[in-house]
Amino acid sequence: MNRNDAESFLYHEAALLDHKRFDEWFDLFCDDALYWIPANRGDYDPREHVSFVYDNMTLLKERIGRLQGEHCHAQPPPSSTLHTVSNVEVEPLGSARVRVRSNAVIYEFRNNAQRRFCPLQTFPAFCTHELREEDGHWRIASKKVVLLNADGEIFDLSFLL
Amino acid sequence: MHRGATVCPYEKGEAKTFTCPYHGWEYALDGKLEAVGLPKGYNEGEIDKGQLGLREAAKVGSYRGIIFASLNEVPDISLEAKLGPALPILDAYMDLSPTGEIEVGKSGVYKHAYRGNWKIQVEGSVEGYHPIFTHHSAFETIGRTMGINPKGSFTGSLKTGLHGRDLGHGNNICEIYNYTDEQIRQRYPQAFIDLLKDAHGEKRAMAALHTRFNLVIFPNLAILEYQFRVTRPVQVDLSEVRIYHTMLKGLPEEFSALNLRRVREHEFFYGPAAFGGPDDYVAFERIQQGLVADEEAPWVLLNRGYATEQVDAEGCRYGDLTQETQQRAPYYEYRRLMARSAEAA
Repeated sequence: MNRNDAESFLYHEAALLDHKRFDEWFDLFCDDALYWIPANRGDYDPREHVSFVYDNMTLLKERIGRLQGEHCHAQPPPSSTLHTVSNVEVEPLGSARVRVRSNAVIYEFRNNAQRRFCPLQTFPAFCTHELREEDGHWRIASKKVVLLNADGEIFDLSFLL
Repeated sequence: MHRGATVCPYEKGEAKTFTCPYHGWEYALDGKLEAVGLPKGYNEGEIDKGQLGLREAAKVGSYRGIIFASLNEVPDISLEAKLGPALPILDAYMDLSPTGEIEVGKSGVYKHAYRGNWKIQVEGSVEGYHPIFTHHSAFETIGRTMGINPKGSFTGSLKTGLHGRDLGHGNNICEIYNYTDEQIRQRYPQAFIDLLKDAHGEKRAMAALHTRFNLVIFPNLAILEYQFRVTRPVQVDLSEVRIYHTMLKGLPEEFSALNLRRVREHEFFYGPAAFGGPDDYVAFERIQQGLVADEEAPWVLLNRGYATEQVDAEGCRYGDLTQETQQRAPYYEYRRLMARSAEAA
């Protein structure tokens, strides 16, 4: 996988998220994958430090089901997101495995009829994807999203980064 | 202090002194003023370094390692008297650790913010009425992935034996679970139970293992199963909530799974991306939006179960945890303090 391939992969992933095609996004992940958003900046061991998100695929499927269901009170109205991806670098990790680092800026907006001046939220993030080739397709073995403001006050992250 | 500027912008780290960036005033770690910038410009008697250190909290006390400070007024009661019936509850929290100590915040801090009054979160920390409604989706996931049904405590049957309790001086508690011996054996390895008994004695060990609660220490500290929660008013309709995760300190390596469970279960429910917390904060913001929209509606209802409230042997009011005894508790203290300051004025 070269940088061009990696960019295409990340753009495709971003498009699935931004068009709310969450089931297809989920299918990008390997069965044993990890979706990780650390809490607080710093190289913390997730076994000894809480994260914002530390999902195996069982929990990620539950998270998506919650967003698609009727009882996620944080989400009506649902978030719209816009991911921009840049600064892509590819590091080979042996056969059929690569690490892809990128910067992302994720914009999030909810059109709440009962609140004026709904704030647009902006989340710049350092992203690391580990990708694995399975049956001729590249899949996500792990996705780590380190928010630039992980140490700051955060109102809500009840959507997919 | 000179102009009153803050002198430390870091949350943690090491320093030998604190120096103000404006005029170079330098303070020792104990707050004493060590040196001022360009001292020749001060004439004899213009400043007294002994009087110009960093301000001390008016009163400081501690219990089981929790340090309480009052910044601007000496409280009219001692810390022990203020905590009163909350003391054995704090003991139970600490005694779950074989060393009798927990570590607060080393394993992570969530800094939540919401656009609502700070009191909504303080009430929400002991709210036994909302879980089956607000947290329906989280409970569904818990049921599917962990094979347990957390709804049982919150059904409102009035028969769970779990109570909301007014502990006096505004402190209050919502009793979430009272684990049976069988449930304790399911939650903890026997060797750990034995370790706790050896460390603290049978009675204290079992008190720690049986109980699970949400405790509020007036005005703005809440202690929950795996967290210390401090709610800070920023504006009348903007609040910050710091959720400090807690771990059992000095846990022998063979029981490290217990601390790992504290991490995973906590982050599942709490924090801005979790399955529980975000649903609460939306409810808090909606309360704020609704209340400011109608100045003709001056009251919120906190009267659930008021007529059937009982009083325990320690003189604490209590009712079913889904009733609102615990949320009413801070307002008795609030009224007392406000009336006292009105008299003083």
